[in-house]
Parts: sequence; structure tokens; C-alpha cells
Amino acid sequence: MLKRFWIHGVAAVLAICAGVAISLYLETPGQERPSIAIGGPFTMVDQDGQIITKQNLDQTAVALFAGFTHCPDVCPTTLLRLSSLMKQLGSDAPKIRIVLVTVDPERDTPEVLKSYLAAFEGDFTGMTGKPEQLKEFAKAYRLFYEKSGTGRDYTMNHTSGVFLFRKGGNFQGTLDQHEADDVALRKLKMLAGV
Amino acid sequence: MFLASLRFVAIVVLVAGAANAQSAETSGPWKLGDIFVEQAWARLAPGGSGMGSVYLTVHNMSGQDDLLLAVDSPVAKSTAVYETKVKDGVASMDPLPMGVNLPSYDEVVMRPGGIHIMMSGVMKDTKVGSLLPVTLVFRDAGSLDLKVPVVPLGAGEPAEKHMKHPAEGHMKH
Repeated sequence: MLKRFWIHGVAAVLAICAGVAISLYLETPGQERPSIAIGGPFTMVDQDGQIITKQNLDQTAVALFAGFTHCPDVCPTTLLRLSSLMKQLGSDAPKIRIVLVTVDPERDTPEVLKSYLAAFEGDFTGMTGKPEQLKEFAKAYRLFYEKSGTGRDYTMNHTSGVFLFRKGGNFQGTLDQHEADDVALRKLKMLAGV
Repeated sequence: MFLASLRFVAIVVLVAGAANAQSAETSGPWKLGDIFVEQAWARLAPGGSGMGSVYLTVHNMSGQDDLLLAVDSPVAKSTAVYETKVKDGVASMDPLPMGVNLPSYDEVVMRPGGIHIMMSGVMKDTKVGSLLPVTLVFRDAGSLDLKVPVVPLGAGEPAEKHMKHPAEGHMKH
């Protein structure tokens, strides 16, 4: 009986140590962690028709996700959530740039993106480009997209997560649509360097 | 007998829940035989794409399964039931051409990120505050006309607020 208690005790202590070690490792900022190679050179345009490159993007921390304006369900939901999270971040919100990359450049011109984004509270950057520019961007940033359906009513399948990049362009991780707001906020605070 | 009393309790709870929901920007309940529809709301995608989506909850309080066969609206070019799925990190929106199964004494909750009614080519005069006419066609129960309020973007997904209600404890995903 006592022996079993001992084994369980030792196992519990080991588990706690492992947990602390892992969390310390994960909390250690920047340099000691190898950065995951996501991202690369690209040229796109923003919703004002201005050219946007990796150099522009890397100037601030970025939360980037794929979407398209003819998406009535999941894209507004993602944008509304980000808008609400940024509001909760308060004065630290300007440290993070929220970027919607359209995977539907055929329909999403800068003007369309601009009027779409204007409907959401907050400061969002929209990115579009020629189909081959998008292809290059998606390859560098590991975004998947494909057309679904034919004719005028086609939709787009696309990567659903929000990718987080630190200032300078290093990949930090992702936001998942099912995680609790406090988890997402912690990730965003870390991203903002708070 | 048990089922009958269960049904009575469920309907009482449902109506109480619906009355509770009146303060939010949803419409309903509607009754068609043993089918109840409540907490209906709609939103338009911004940017003038003419896309919209409708969310609602359907309760099948009969002893028989039914099927939501088709949806329609006179103010949109096309109206259909779609399901948003996320698989291997990729979001997709797939039509449900076989309809939506409505199991006996169960409910289907349509909400963002799941099953929803998708509209394209929504007429330009439809805006926030409008009541969207939507018809639901059930295999057994027949057809039901709804008027669904178009809520402002980010009105807080009113249906979500009532999901903890006991009548909605068995959501289908």
C-alpha cells in the first residue's frame, strides 16, 4: 500500500517537474527557441491599393488569417472575434496588426476589401493581389486555399487558423477558433510583448 | 405516457425559453404540427457581396424523424443549407443536398461555424432591421414561412446566448 503511494507520489512530482520545464521552455521569448520558418518575400496590395511587402509586414507583430468577402458564415465570425479580442487588449492593441489575406482575389479587389473591413470595429489590413502573387504568398506562409463549386456561387476552402508573427517576422503560433478568450488573449499579449 | 409528459415539459421549457429570447434580436417561435422553430436571426456579409446567412433552432417534438428538405427565400437568388466544417485546419462550406436530418424529440441548432442557411444574391433593399422571408420545407411536416430579422454585424450572435438553456442541452454538431 505504502509502496503504491510512493510510486504515485514520485510520478506526480515528475509530472509536475516536466510541466514546469515545458512551460518555462514555451514562455522563454525569442532567441533560445529556433524559429519556425514560415513566411517569405512577397508583394501584394492592401485595401488602399498600396503595395505591401514582407518588409512592411515585419515592422509590427501580426495576426494573419485567410478569408474572403463572399463568406457569410466563418469569416465574419473570425473578424468579430478578433475585433472583440483587440478591444480587450486595450492600449496594447495598436502593437498588433490584424491582416486578412483574401484567398479570392478574383472577386476581392482592394475596394471590395476596404468596404468589407470598414464594417468591423477596429483597424484591419486587407491584402489582395494577382492570383500568382497570392499563390506565392500562400506558399511562403503555408496557407492552403482552393475553389469549391463552380459558376458565380463558388466558395473558397481555406486555412482556418490565425497565424501569429512577432515583430520582425518570427512565427509565434496560432489562434484557434475554439479556444477560450483568455487563452487567446494570453497569446496576443505575448505577441504584443506585454 | 412517459414520452407524452416529457413532451409536455419540453414544450413548456421551450416556450419559456423562447419568451426569454424575445428580448434578443431573434424571431420565433413558429409551430408547424410537432415542429417548432425559434431563435431565428440573419446577418449579411458586409461589402456588398449580396451574401447572407440565417441561423435558427428547429425542434422536432414528434415521435417520428423528419427531414428539412429545402429552404427558399424570394429575396435571394439562391438559398440553401450549408455546413461549415474545419478539417485538418482547413475551413470549408459544403452544401447538404440530402437535407438536414431532424431526429425525433431532438433539435438542430444552426449557428455560426456550423449548419446554416446560406443566401447569395440577396436583394439590395435588404438591410439591418429588415425581416427576411424564409420558407422551410419539411419532408413530413410540410412548409413553414418565417420572417427572420437581419441583425447588425456583431450583435453578439443572439442564438449563442441561450445555448445553455435546458431545452437546448442536446445539440447536434
